[in-house]
Amino acid sequence: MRFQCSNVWFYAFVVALIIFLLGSCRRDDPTPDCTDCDLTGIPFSPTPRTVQVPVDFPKLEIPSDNPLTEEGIALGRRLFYDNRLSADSSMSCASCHLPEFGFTDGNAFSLGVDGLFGKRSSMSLANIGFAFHGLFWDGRAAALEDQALLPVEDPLELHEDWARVVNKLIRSSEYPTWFRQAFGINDKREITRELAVKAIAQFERTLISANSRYDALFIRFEDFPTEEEQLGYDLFFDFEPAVPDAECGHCHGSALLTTNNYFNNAIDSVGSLTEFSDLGRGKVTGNYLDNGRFRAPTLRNIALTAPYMHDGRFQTLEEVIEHYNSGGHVTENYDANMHPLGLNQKQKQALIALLHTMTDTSFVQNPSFQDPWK
Amino acid sequence: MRLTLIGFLALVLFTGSSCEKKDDGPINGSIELTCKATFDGEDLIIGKAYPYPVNFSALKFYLVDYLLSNVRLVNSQGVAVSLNEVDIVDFSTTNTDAAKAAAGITFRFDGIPNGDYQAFVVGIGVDTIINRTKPQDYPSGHPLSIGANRYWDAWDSFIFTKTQGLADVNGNGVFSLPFSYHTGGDGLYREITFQYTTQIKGGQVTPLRLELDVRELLHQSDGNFWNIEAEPNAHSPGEPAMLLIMDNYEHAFSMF
Ligand code: HEC
Ligand code: HEC
Repeated sequence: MRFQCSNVWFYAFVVALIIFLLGSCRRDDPTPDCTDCDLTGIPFSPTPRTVQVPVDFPKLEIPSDNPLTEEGIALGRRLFYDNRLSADSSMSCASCHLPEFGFTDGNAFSLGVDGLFGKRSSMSLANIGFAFHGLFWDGRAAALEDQALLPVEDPLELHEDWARVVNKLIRSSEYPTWFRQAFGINDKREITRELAVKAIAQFERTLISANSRYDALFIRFEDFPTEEEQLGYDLFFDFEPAVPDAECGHCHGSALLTTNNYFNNAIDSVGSLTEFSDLGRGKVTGNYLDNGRFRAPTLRNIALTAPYMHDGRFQTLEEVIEHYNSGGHVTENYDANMHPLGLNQKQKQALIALLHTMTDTSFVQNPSFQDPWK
Repeated sequence: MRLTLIGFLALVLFTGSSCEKKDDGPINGSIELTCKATFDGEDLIIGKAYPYPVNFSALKFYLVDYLLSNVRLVNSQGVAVSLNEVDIVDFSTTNTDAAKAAAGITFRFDGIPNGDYQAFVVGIGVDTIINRTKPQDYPSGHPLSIGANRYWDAWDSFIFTKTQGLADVNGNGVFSLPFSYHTGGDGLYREITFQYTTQIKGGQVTPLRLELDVRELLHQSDGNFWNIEAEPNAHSPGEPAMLLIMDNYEHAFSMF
């Protein structure tokens, strides 16, 4: 009994020591002591935002601890476009996710703040709230709230320390008010990275694209396709037995124009599955059959998001179609929907015409998605 | 006041316990269904080569799955107890090594009333009622959701089963021909009834095994096997390979 008792004291001492050490660590990285930290004078009455989910879209699944509010979305949009999120205040999320490029950056590899190129091509954020099967080309982040933590500290992206970002936000003249209005914090020092990424995620969930010519033609049936567009559609989804099946719809199906699954679309020629220079999904799951598999991205706004594939290897949609028409390179885990398609010139053109209908100008020009600092 | 409260609590506790004493154990039992895939009786391992009795060829499978729906037990009075709406049995992520292939995929169905049952019924694919729904009607993670990647717009149908892999068509060890058989469409939903007598006892779990011999899916009624080299794909309704596969599920299954 006695022995146990002294044990308790020993543990208490260790715990106290840890707390002390942690406390002293913090001191190196001081939270600003502000005279005006209290925010309770500012009203907190967030306005809920209900999202109109477009026809044929799935339900927008929103984490219960991060409901959409006008104030949260507005804050997220400011953070998304704020250069203070980067080490030298030169870049923001939007530097690599620009609305005019369908929220990509038009480069094969994205350039980070230190002038270093990343290893993959930027991804479109259109309908990102509906990406329920993992984020990034390899699905390594589960939710938008987890994802947004990563670019800030990535040395190849914003290369900034979250603690410093948070301090910049606390010290700024506007952000404490905005955080109060969005999340009801009582004190400036309650601003955290978790709240910042929640706001960014709220903004991202509003990035809904459902107003392309494709939607009007093939989802809402408001207009008639040209003969070429119809042929493209029949090829893409195999609607017409008389034309070849281009198989695209198996991997880029649904109103989202992706099922968000991981495939090897046969772009690499390798002797064995361990030889891919980027293992993609395999690095995340550890299953060698997942090596060389990447998430099939949405084809919405695809005409705006060149170059193509995770490494931006194809400059044009013509090159992409040539690849699919050739069937690509057979490897052990290559998808059986990949095989030589035998499309003629007219059919290839029709597929490209179809891809062009997927451009949603009202999405990329939506005033609510533009830089709020301008 | 305090006394009344204690008295009330005592009464509640007493009623509760007396209730429990009246029945003799739980009134429901469970079934644990283990689904396995084999090739010619051997556990099917993803990516392993299996000899195929056409032109000395060999097959490697990378995707073998089926929708298992409307599973039910039927009692001696012919009354059915429904066990599921729809589940996906997908061997592509589970059967990656021998141990996992031997273990199979397990589903547990609880809340089955005690009693004697005489038949076990499974649906392969989905019935016409479910087939009128769309992937976007289901939450993420559901076997019929968009992310499940099992809807084919051109057929207005979920994809009932997928059998995909690579074939070595002439026995030279080169697996270069991809094959892909997807099935679906209202006419191809199949219900299979197994005569199976079991007694469900309260609180007990009855194990059940459903083994699918994938080679048998390609076995024709004339005794020959499907010529994969000649027809490596089936993606449109009415293709003979689709009908063959769906009709074969019944005899490709064994249940213990
Ligand atoms: C230096 C360029 C760069 C910056 C800055 C950047 N990103 Fe990205 N983003 C990328 C690249 C490249 C990918 C794909 C990376 C991968 O798959 O590994 C990506 C992927 C994403 C994805 C996943 C999309 C999908 O479909 O899975 C989201 C969401 C995203 N970024 C949001 C953000 C946010 C929010 C910020 C700011 C906090 C940000 N990005 C900053 C380049 C950048
Ligand atoms: C087997 C599944 C599959 C099929 C079939 C398929 N794709 Fe893809 N697609 C993918 C995957 C996976 C990627 C991303 C691959 C990568 O980046 O390594 C992709 C990428 C693309 C891209 C580039 C996207 C971007 O943002 O860079 C385009 C364009 C595209 N596919 C169009 C098509 C068309 C058109 C067809 C039909 C001819 C088609 N795909 C058929 C899986 C598929």
